[in-house]
Order: sequence, then structure tokens, then C-alpha cells
Amino acid sequence: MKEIEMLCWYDKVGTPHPIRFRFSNEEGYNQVVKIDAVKVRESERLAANKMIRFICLSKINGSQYELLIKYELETCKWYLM
Amino acid sequence: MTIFHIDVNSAYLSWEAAYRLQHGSKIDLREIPAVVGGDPKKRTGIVLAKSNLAKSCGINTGESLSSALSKCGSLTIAPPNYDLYVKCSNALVELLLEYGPSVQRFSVDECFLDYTGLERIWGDPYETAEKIRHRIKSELGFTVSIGISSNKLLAKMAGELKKPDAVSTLWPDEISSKLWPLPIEELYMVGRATVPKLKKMAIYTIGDLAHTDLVYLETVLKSHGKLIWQYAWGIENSVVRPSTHLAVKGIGNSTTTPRDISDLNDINLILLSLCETVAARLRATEHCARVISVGLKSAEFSHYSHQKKLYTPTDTTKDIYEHAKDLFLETWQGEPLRHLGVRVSELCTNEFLQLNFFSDQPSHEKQRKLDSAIDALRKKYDKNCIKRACFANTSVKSMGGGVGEDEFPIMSSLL
Repeated sequence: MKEIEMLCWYDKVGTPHPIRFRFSNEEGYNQVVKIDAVKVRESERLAANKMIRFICLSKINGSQYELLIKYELETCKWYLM
Repeated sequence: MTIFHIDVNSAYLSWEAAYRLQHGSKIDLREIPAVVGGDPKKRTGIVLAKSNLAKSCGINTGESLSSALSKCGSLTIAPPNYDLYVKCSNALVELLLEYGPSVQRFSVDECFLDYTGLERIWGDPYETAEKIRHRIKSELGFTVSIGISSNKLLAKMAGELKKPDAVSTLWPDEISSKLWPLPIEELYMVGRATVPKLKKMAIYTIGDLAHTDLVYLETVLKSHGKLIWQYAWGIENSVVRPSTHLAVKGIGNSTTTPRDISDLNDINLILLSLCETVAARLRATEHCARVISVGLKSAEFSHYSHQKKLYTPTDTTKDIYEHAKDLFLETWQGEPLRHLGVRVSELCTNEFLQLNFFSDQPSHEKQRKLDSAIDALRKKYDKNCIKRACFANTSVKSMGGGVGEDEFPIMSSLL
């Protein structure tokens, strides 16, 4: 699990819509990934810790990937799983 | 009456495991030899919770981490996270409140739910308990055992029948078949001190206890004998109290030191830090105390305590500390110590104080005003905003003992 920097917009009811994120890849370089679509958005509260799970579709190096991203409400942190 | 008792299985470990899994861990602490305890690097702490695999290695709750590591070299140790435990406990209570208004938090990981009359809304109690169990597992990520019966005692005992992750009943007509065959130590409120006494009386099972003459039992065990005899028959009628507020009988704090200590100055410093915490808590409840006791545990785990009753009750840190020091010197045998505790009891209101002709009253009043000012500062800013100079440049906390987080619900022994 990696902590990522996320650009996100919020609609009037407060639903987050992730746009793109940046993370350090295995070589240590920053990589920016655009989120093409959000397939699933659901809440979870395992161990009473509220998070929103996103299953997103993104193109990385020409290939389409399904990514599991989580947003932790208490800390406002985004994680790439 | 229909009462549910909900008990989280291996609470600390389960909560830590669920938290780690949510944060991407590939390992479930419940499926490997793992314990929740203090910090092995600081050489302090005991096992607070263990996984089943750790249990099979012979590790017991309450033993030191070094002892646990010697039994299982590949043991994973997770430090305690009381903030997490409070949140999980609150989430559990919140979920249960969806089913009924009368939920009593008995401890951080146990709750009672009064289901009386709710059958009309939610249906059969057993089916509802199963739904609650599944919801807790899927939504919150940990498992519970639920016991169902007609009173709190039987509901609690029912929950012990099948673990983990199960629902069981123990209705009054099932007492003879399900409760009585159990070993006597399984009965609630029968502890380490009572078991050998009962076994001397040839009482080995709960059924044996139930069929023992009550008068004989009271002769040996006094009121406690009557209590456990009633429990053996499933007789208990306390209500499910939504608030856990009880009349406070005593306040105490204790601490385990990272190393064996035998230097009197170090010991006095730790006693002072414990007295700071105890006195602050005592004043917060607006009580004074008449009885002060000090508990010691040596490096060899032998435990003893000493107490005294004061002529006049007190709530000042200085008084409690002076008496605690005297008690300590009277009882300490000079051996290295590992655990110290200070406790006050026989509480009375601090609205008015009986003066003592022989004590220095102006100084005592001044002390009370000083304590009051310090309490106000700590409440407004932080408990660490002010501390005694003797704690500067030491590793001893200025307010020792306790779990560090506020409002951590400690288990009560009273249903």
C-alpha cells in the first residue's frame, strides 16, 4: 500500500471524484496517473476506520489497469492498494 | 426478558488485524503467532491479547513479552493502540443501538443489549443475533460471540459456550444441561482466589456449587458465596444500564517499569507520578479518600500491598504522596521491583472537609488551591502543560499509570 498525492474534485453532496494522482514508482521517480473512470465507489469502516474504496480504470504505459484506491476520511489520505 | 451479550473475540488482536488488513497488510494477525503488548525494544510490557497460534505455543495473557518471545521466536508483536480500541468499541455500540435503545457497554469489548419487546420489530432473537454477528463481521471486520438469555449473567455465560464467531443460548431451562457440567472456574465472579477454596469443599463444577448448601457456603465465603451460588442457579436481575456510570468505589493507577528498580529515589519518583494521576482523577470526581494503598510487584512477580486509613480524608496530591511513601517504606523488603501501584478508596464528597486539629490547616488549604489551579491548567491546555521540576530530564512521566487515552472504558466487575 502506497500513500499517493491525489487531485480530486468534490460535488455538491460531498462525493469525491478522483482525477489523477502522483506516486513514487519502483525506480524512485514520480509518476502521474490519470484516472479514466471510477467503476466502483463504496464505503467501508473496517476497524471503525471510515474509508471510501474506489476501483478505477487507468492507462499506464499504454495498458489499461484496474486500480484499487482508498481514501481515509479521518486523515484525508489517499492510498494506492 | 431477552438479553444479548456481545463479546468481541480477541478484541485487541482482532481490531489491530482488521486495521492492518484495511491498510493493505497481506498478513492477518489472527492467523499467525501474534500478540498485542508493549514495546520489546523498551523491554517493557506484557501480553494483552494473543492469537490462537500464540496460545498453542503456551503464551498466556499477562505474561511478560520476553517470556512470550522465549516460547515462540517468530512471534509478531503489535503495540497497543488504545485510540483504535475506543473507536472500534464505539462503532460496535453504534451498530447495536440500531437494534434497540438499551445498550450497556460492560467493557471496551463487551456489551449488553436489552432485546425485550424488540421481537415485534426485528423478529426472532436468535435470527437477529445471527444478523448482528454477520453485520459486525462484514462491516467492521472482526468477529463476536453473542449469548442470549433472560438475564445478563446467563447471557454472558451463554456467550462463553461457543467461541469464536457464534451465537448461543442459555435459557433458564438449559442451565442444568449447559451450565452445570462446566468447571467451576468458568462461572463469572469465581476467580483465582475462590477456586482453590471451592475445590477444598469438593466443588469442581458449577452444578456442584448449585447443589451445595447455601448456609455452609456463606459460612466459608460470606456474601460472595451467596452471590456465586445465585449465579450457579442463574439468578441475577440487574437491568441493562445504558450509562456505565456507577458510584465510584476507588481510584487507582499502576505502572510496569521498563527495568527492575531498587533505587529509592527512582521509586519515589514513580510513586509521585502515580499519585499525581490518582489525585487528579479523585478531584475530578469531587471526592476525598480515607484509605490509601500501595501495591508492589517484584521482579520475580511476587505481589503484595499495604494500606492505611487516614484520620481525615484528603484529595491533595501532596498528602496522598506522603502517605504512599510511608506505606511503601513500611512494606518494601528491599528487593528489585517491576510494578508499582497507588490506590485510594473509601471515598466521600469533598463538599466539606473534617478538619484535623493536629495538622497544618493553612498549608493544607494552600495545597488544595494549588492543586485546583494545576487541574484547571491541565484541563484547559493539556495534561503535560505543567509538571513538577523533579520530572524534568527523567524518563518518568509526570502523570503515570493508566492507558494514556481518555474515556477508555475499563471492565467493571459488577453486572
